[in-house]
Amino acid sequence: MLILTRRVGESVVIGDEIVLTVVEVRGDSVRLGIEAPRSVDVHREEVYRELQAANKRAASPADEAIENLKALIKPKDDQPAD
Amino acid sequence: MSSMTATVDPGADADNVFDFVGPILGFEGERSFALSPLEDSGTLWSLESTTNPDLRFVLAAPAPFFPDYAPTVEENAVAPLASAGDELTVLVILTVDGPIRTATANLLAPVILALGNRRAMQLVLPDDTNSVRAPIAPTGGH
Repeated sequence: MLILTRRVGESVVIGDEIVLTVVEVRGDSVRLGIEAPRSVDVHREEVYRELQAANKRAASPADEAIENLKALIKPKDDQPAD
Repeated sequence: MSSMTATVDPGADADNVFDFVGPILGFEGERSFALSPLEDSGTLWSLESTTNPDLRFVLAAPAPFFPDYAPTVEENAVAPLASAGDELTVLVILTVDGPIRTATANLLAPVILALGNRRAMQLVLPDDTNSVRAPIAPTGGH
């Protein structure tokens, strides 16, 4: 990991198009401003990891689970008699 | 802010392939998915990868489960959809990896679909108040 020291108002340039600026420092928190092209997504790391994990857990549910979901939303009086 | 009231017609052509302009996090290589209804009411949908048929997601229209869900969507955030004022549809990814009573919906990162140009994206909402795993099953009698 590259470690750089910046003061409030100073910036870091990443690649050709991404600029990270220290906007404010207050206690333990640092407010960062990020300029990046629309093609580059920027996320807080823990949110990013959580979303990756959530999507992976959601991927390809079992057929039985899907049938149970359908039953959940189907009103009982619409069900055909067996 | 784009209008979020469009609903997907379950009677529409089953060959509804959407081009994802941004990744589904965790599945960065997958950008082409077919959307098809799982039942007639337009509530449950299957989103299946066109390149990997083993990969699919179950999506739901949020309104029947979360009537107060009103995600704030910035125009800039959905600009890559290039939907030019067309109505956008919001569906949420469901996780069902156990009994139905534990099934949840990802309200933090819904899937936004532009029906007109068949583009889509998973949008991470900036608002922290939406849960990534909101329970969908009723928890008791009403």
